[in-house]
Amino acid sequence: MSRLLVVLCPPRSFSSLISTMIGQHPEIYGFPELHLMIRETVGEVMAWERRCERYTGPPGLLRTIAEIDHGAQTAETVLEAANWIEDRLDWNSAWMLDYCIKRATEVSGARYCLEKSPSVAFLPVALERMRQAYPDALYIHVTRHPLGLKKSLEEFVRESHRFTPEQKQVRLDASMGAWPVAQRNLLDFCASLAPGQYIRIRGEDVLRDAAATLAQVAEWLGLRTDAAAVEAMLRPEESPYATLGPPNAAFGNDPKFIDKPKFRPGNPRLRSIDGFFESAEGQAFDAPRRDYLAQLASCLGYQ
Amino acid sequence: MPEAPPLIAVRAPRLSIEPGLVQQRLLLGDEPLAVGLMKKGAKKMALVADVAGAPVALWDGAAASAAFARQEGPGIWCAMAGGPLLRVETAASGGPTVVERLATGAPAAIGHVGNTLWGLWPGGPGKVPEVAPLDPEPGARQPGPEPGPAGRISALAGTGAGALAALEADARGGFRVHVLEPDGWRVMTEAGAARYGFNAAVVAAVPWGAGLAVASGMDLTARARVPGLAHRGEILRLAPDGDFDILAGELRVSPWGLKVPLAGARTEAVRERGGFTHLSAAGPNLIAAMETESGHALVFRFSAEGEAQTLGQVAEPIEDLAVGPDGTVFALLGSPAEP
Repeated sequence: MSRLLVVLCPPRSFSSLISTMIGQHPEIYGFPELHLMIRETVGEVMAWERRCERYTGPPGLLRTIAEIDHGAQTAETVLEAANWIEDRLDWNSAWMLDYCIKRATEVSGARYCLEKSPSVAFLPVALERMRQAYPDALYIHVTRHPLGLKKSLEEFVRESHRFTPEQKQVRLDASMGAWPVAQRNLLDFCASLAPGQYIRIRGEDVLRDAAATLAQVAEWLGLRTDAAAVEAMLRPEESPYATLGPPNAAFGNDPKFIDKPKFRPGNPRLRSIDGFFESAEGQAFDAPRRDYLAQLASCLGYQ
Repeated sequence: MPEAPPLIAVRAPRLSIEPGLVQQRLLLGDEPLAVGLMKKGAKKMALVADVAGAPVALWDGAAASAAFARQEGPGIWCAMAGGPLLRVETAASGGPTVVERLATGAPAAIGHVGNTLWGLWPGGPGKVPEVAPLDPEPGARQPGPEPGPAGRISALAGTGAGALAALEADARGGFRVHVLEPDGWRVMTEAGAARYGFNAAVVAAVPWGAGLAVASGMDLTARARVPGLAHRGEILRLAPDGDFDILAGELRVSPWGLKVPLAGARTEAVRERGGFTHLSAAGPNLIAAMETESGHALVFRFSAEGEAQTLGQVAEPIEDLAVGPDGTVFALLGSPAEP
């Protein structure tokens, strides 16, 4: 069975793009967001998703079961997948992930299966659950500049139809709060791993020089680094999960990524955090919070 | 790797000097060790010529920091921030003697490159720092490296290739190394020091091999800002062309390809959590001290190939690290708390 490879990052951190790119390596099977490890059992995972009142389960999980068990993602195969999962609500979440890994390995022959579920960045208990279930998993910690994440989060909230205006305002007011919470969780988690069990990459570096950065990730994993393997990672749009899924499991990755899944190189400007603190919005941060955020950012290579 | 040299922990009172904070250490000619000591409270500087020697007070005066640099032969330069620049000879009978006192104002940093001592004077706001050779006669000052908007030049060091290097650090993180070349200063680490780990500040740097060995990590101020954040310090070997190796630390991607800690993931130097605090070059080897999370110190030796060997453990943090002429490694312990 393939080894589990996990991309760790908060939402709005290029996670769909980068994890799909890495998942396109010929020796990796890239899942969409399975959201399995956020709860102990499959039943709890499904209940959590249903509280969002949208799908019968995590769309990434439904699409994955449809794809690996039925060879296609259609409304019918997704329904089949949902029914199959319904019969296994008492399963431990890790058993379900094991099943996905086993089937993906059989289908693709991959040496690694890649999972990313950004919500675990806010759930230390989920990170610990993953570590207990997969002690030999490898982790890629993807970071993004706090101001880049803030901007992206605000755009997402403004464009979302899921929130009321009041809910939007609450999220906009707290948009700078997500980054330090998630990154601290991930830093603490990575510090508890064995040296060499994780690698940290800046999302901006992937945008700037994807071939060189991802080739080094492949090298770390002991995978092929030839031109064909690297070029495959530059075509995320070829992933079966990069496009809109059937109506009963449409997403499973970031909607913006699904809208435009092609990799577009860029050179994102890294704004000054001190500059933010000089702005009217930044002045609302007291000195300890400023120092905390800026120091944490510095630890991740952002100034 | 050859047999490990002995590690000797030395507490300041054994040196017959008053309790205080060890600021600098040097090898002095045939003497095994010299220790500069800043007395707490009284703000006095003392110099001890050897492990068994008696203290020699060089001067009194308010000072916050000091720097030493060794000269060929028996002399050493001593400087205090805001104080005079002194040249001291240790060969005189009765202990070290001040043989020269320059009124030029002490440099903020002194670096030893080959047989030349260099001093650096800070430029002040909006002004480029200045550097000048100190040996044998103070030379005309010339422009130093220009730090970035948030940076300041904090130290000088010679590279193993014989070039003068200046370390730039900013208040919260990141560092750059500037190297003096015939046509001016060049940033050696513009991309090489780009990092995604915890090398937020340079805590020690020494010439080693053809380049510099740099210990980087979080200082006390940085740690206080993010309480409880676990971290592993790292040691980089910076090559003159900007490439680098990681001796101990986190693996990472880089413009030069994947960098994997040369010491190996299973070694104590990589596995132990804490921060490297002191470096000392000993011929082809590098000696490094780490303060662990549990509060004790580990001392390692790295070979030129990066192989790591644990020399020993000291039950408390150390104040400084020195290597004697016979290879003996001295870990200098802090003084007991004053009553």
